[in-house]
This record gives sequence, C-alpha cells and structure tokens, in this order.
Amino acid sequence: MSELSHSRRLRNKIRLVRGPLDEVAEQLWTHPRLRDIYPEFLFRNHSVIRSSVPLMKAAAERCEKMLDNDPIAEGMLAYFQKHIPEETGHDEWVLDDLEVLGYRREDVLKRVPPLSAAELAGSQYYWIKHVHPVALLGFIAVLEGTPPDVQFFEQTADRIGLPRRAFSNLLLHGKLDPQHRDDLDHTLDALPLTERHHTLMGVSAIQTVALLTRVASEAVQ
Amino acid sequence: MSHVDKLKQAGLIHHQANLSQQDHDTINSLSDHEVDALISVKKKLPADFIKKHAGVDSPEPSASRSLGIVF
Repeated sequence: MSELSHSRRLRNKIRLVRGPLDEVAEQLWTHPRLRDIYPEFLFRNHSVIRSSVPLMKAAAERCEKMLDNDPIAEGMLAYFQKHIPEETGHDEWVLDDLEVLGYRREDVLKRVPPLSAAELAGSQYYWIKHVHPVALLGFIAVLEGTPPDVQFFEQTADRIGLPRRAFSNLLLHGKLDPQHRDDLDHTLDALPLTERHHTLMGVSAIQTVALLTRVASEAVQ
Repeated sequence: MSHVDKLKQAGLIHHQANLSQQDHDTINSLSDHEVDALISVKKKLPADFIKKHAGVDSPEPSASRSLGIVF
C-alpha cells in the first residue's frame, strides 16, 4: 500500500464506501416522480453547498495560524486560496435553478434546512476548528469526486419536461469539476501527509458519504 | 482480528462477500479510527453496504452516477 499516491489512497477509501450514495443517486435520477421531487432535491443541495465556501474560509484561517509549525499548512492554504474564488457564488446557481421553477430565493433562504445538512456542515467545522483542517479535504474529495455527466442531465431535464435552465448548477459543474478533482489530487500528492492526516481525511470522507446519503435519501422518500 | 473480519462481524461486509484484492488492501490499510467510523455510521447506511458495492451477487459495479450535490 505504501506505493500508492496520497490521492489514490483517499479515492480508494471513498470508492469502497460510496455504494449507498450511488444507490440513492440512481433512485433519485430514475424516480418516476422526479419532476415533483427535483425542487426539494435542489433545496437540500443548497442546504449543503451554502456552507462550502465558508468551510474553506474557516480551514484557510486555521492554516494561516498553523504556518509556523505545521508542514502541510502552506500547501493547504495555497489550495484554499485558489479554490475559494473558483467556488464563490456556486450556491447562487442552485437558487437560480429554483427561481426558474418558480421558487423565490428569499422564500428558499427562509426555510429551515434539514438536520442532516446541518450535521454534515457542522461536523466539518468541528474537524477544522478542533482537530485539523486537513479533514476538509476528505469532504471535498467526496463532493467533487464524481463530476455530473452533462449529457445525462440535459437528457434528464428533457425527459421530465423541465427547462435545462433549471439544471444550470449541474451542467456548469459538469464542465468545471473534472479540473477541480484533478487540482485536489495534485494538491494531496504534493503535501507531506502523515498517517494521521490520512486517518482524518478518511474519517471525514466516510462521515460525508454517510450524511450526504441521508440528505439525498430524505428527498426521495 | 483483521479489519475485514471486524467489519464482517459488525455487519458492514456480508460474510460471503467476494472482495477483490484491491478491496482487501484498501480495507486493511484503514486505520483503527476509520474502521470505528465505518461501524459508527452503519446506522445511517443500509446493511451490508460494502457487500453491495463489492458486488457479491453481481458483476463489476457500473461507473458512479453523480448525486448532483457538488461543491
């Protein structure tokens, strides 16, 4: 195992445990009532990713404080400083999609998010602030690890009779995320990660898969 | 006890699971903390989830479909 790259080690762990997440994805996108479920899915989607940039900012802040005594802080900080502007505003894309479907963003923002989304984001704040910000890379590896298939989601929109403009978030990420996944892998492989770092990323990724599965499955029920 | 045995005992891997060598290597490379995390989240996941992913009763799993909750 020692010959595996850092990124490959993390991706192998995620591959091992992501079965339930894949099953929920299949249930969702083939659901006979997808047209009715899709707005609820978008709300849950927004509930999760509204925390993405704030989480990275929190991790970057911790890295800045650790620069003098942590050998991976500088490399992580560089990654977050590049990725934060790349991701800024992506939660607004989901609100845009909901507005296309007739849901005003101010009404969406007033809704109480699901517990599972709060648990998912909250757990990452815990790791970042109280343990080590490297854990967030496990979270990011899960969320950016399977870029949306642009053709599939265009066909899905057409199939259920919704405008493709209501799928803009997925279609845009389909074009951007392959590069983001590669950027994270390059960052991981350049960092002097220890076994403890790998454990933290692994635990974070396992927790992310479990909670993300719950966030999505509640929309399908 | 190996990690594979521990996860079988916890019901996360079906006792008849046909794990690949890569799966074995990945599972055995997990730290004790990661194994404990898997057992801890078991309640949030369906039973035998590693078994399903490893394809006990089916051929190689198809490529993952994006859930659509993306960063």
